[in-house]
Amino acid sequence: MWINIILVAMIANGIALASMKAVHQYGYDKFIPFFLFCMYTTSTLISRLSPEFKKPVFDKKEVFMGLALGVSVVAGMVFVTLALRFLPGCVVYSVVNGGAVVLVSIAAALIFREKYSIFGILGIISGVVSVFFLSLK
Amino acid sequence: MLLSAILCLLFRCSFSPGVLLIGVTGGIFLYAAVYLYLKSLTLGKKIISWVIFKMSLVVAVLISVFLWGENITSKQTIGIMLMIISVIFFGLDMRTRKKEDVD
Repeated sequence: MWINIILVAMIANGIALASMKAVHQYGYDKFIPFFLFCMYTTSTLISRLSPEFKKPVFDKKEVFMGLALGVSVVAGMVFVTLALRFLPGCVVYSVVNGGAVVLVSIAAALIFREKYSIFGILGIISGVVSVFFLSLK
Repeated sequence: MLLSAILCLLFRCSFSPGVLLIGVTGGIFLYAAVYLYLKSLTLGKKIISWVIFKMSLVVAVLISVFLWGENITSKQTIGIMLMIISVIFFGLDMRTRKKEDVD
């Protein structure tokens, strides 16, 4: 049952990612901020209408963390949409989705001295090699 | 939503019905993706859910290729394959480390 749920989630996320490419594909490059506003407003409104919605309890620390996360997510989305103007979608999506995991893992190993199994090391190596191949024409 | 509204005000964004349609569609799918991902995290195996969710890059790539006729070179195909393998390796790494923590 849950495997069907995650498969639908995967497809839905793929379509959401592709909608960024659609903005460029249909010649709406100058409307990127409006596109992001529409996308996030729609998601927020649906979650607000959801029966599972619980009224948030505001905590100073959480508000600060939420703002920091929000700024980085929106900035990330802006740059992804801009990147799609110059690079093919297959390169952008691979670098954004997989590259982020590789970058965070390298940062965790260097900054927090996190230890990885052989699979983690192989993941970092294949991720770095992948970015190299993706940058080639 | 608040931050995207600020961004919209800063860049004096203008209205377009086409962008509204793409944005609303993207928002619906984004919400569905996050909601279902969180649901599967509570119902099933977290690491497998994470790996499958990260594979959404394949769906986006396929849409780009088949819907918009994007060309991919053989080197880029190798790159995409390696990135998918890399995500699978990270999933295996998480599982191995979780097992070690339990032991």
